[in-house]
Amino acid sequence: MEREQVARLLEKYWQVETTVEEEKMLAEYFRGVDVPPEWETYRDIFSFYEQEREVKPGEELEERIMERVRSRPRLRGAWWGAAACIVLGLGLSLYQGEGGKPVAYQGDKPRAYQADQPIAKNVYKDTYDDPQQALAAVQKALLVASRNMNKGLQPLK
Amino acid sequence: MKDKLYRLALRLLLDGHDAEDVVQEVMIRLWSRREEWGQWQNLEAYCMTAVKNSCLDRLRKRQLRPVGEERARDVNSHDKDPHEKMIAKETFMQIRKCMDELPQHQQLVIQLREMEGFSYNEIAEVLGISLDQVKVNLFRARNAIKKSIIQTESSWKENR
Amino acid sequence: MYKKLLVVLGLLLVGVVTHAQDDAIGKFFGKYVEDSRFSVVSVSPKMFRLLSKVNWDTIPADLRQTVSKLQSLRIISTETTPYVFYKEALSKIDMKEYEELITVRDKGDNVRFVVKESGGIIHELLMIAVDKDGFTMMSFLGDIDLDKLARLSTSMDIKRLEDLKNAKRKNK
Repeated sequence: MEREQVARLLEKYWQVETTVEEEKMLAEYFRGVDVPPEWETYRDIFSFYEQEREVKPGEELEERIMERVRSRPRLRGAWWGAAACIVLGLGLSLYQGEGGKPVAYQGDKPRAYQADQPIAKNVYKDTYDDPQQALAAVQKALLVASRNMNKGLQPLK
Repeated sequence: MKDKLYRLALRLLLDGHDAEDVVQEVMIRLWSRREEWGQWQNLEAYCMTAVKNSCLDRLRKRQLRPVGEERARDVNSHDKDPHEKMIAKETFMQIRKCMDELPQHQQLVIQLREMEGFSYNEIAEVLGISLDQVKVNLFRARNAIKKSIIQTESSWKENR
Repeated sequence: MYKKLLVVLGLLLVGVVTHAQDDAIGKFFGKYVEDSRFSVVSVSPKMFRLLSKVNWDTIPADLRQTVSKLQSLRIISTETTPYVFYKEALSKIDMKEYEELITVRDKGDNVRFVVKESGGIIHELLMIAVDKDGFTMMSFLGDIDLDKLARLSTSMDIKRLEDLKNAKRKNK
C-alpha cells in the first residue's frame, strides 16, 4: 500500500471514519517491516491490538464447559415441560384448522386432511407423501423422545 | 466465540480466573436455553452482552465487599496471567496502562472494535448504547491512546 | 446403565409382538384418528423403506443408523383435556406386554416410556407424555437401541454448541 494511501487512511482512522475493511488494511500495513520512523508509534498501537487479539482462555476452560454441559441438563422451567417439549419440538400444531378439521403440520405449513380424501381406518395411512418430509418428522420425533429419556435418566440435582 | 467472550470478560474483570468463570457461566446458561437458539437473531451479540452484564454485576459486588476480601489483581498467580507470555515491550505496557485508565465505555469500544472487529451496530447492540455514542467513545479512546503514547515516547527520548 | 434401570424400574414379561392394530397406540389411534381434537402423524413401514432413497448427506451418522432400523412411527396428540386422555391411553396399555422403562414426573408433567421386548431386541418404544398444555403418545416400531437413542439428543445439541463456538464471525 502506498504511503499516501496509508496517510489518508490514518487521518480517517483518528476521525473514526474508517470501515472495518480499511482498518484491516492499516493493520496489514503496519505488520510490514517498512514503516517510516514517524509512524513507529502507530505501528506499536496496531501491534498491541494484534497481540491482544491472541489472548485466549486456558485450555481446560473448554473441557470444563463441555463436562458441565454433558452432565447437567436443565430439568426445570416451563419450557422443558414434557408435552410442550413434544408438541413444540415436533412442530406439531394442535390448533384446529378451518371448520374444525384435524390439522397436522408438515414442517411449518399446516396441512388439513382433505374433506374429499377418505380417512381410512387403517392406522398406517401416511401423513406425508414426500419421504424427505417424513424423514424430518422422524428425526424430530427421535430427538424429542431422546430428550425426554435424558430427563429421566439424569437424577435431579 | 468463547475466546472473544473471554477477552471481553478479561478487559472488564482484569483477572483470568474470574474471566474464565464468567465465560463458563454464560456458556452453560446458553446451553440450558438451547431450545431458543433458533429465535435469537444474533447469538454472538447475545453472548457478548450476557458476558458484559455478568462482569458488571461482579464488579458491583466487588465494590460492596469490604476491601480486605477483594481479590485484587493477583500479581502472583503466574499460571493464570494471560498476559504473561506477551512481549513485555515498554510501549505495549504503556498502551495497556492508558487503556486501563480510560472510562469503561471507551475501553469496551476499543476492545470490541480493535480486537474483535465488530461493526458499530454490533458494538451498539452489545453495549446497549447508541451508534453515535459508539463513535464518540471510539474517537475519544483512539485519540487518548495516541496522545498518551506519543507523549510517553517523546519523554523517553528526552531522558536518553 | 440403562440395563440396570430396566431391572430396577421395569418388570418384565416379554410379550409377543402383536398385530399393529391391536397394540396400545393402535387402539387409541383407531379410536381418535378422525377426531378433530387430535393431531396425528403416521409414517408407515412402506414410507420407512422409501426413506433410504432420501438425501442423507446432512444427517449425522448416529441418527442415520437409528432411523435405518425403524419400521414405523405413530404419534397422536391433543390439547383438549390432556389428563383425561392420558389416563385413557394408559389404561389401554396392556402391562403384561409392555415393560416400564422410565417415568419422569415433574410437577404436572409426566413422561412415561414403556417398551416391548422379545428375543433381547426392543421392538417397540412407547412414549406417553402429558402436561397441562397437551397430551402426546408416540410409538416407534423396529429394532430399537435405547443407549443410542438416549445419546442422540445430547450429541446433536453438543454438536450445535461446538459449531457455535467454532464459528468464525463474518466481518461486515
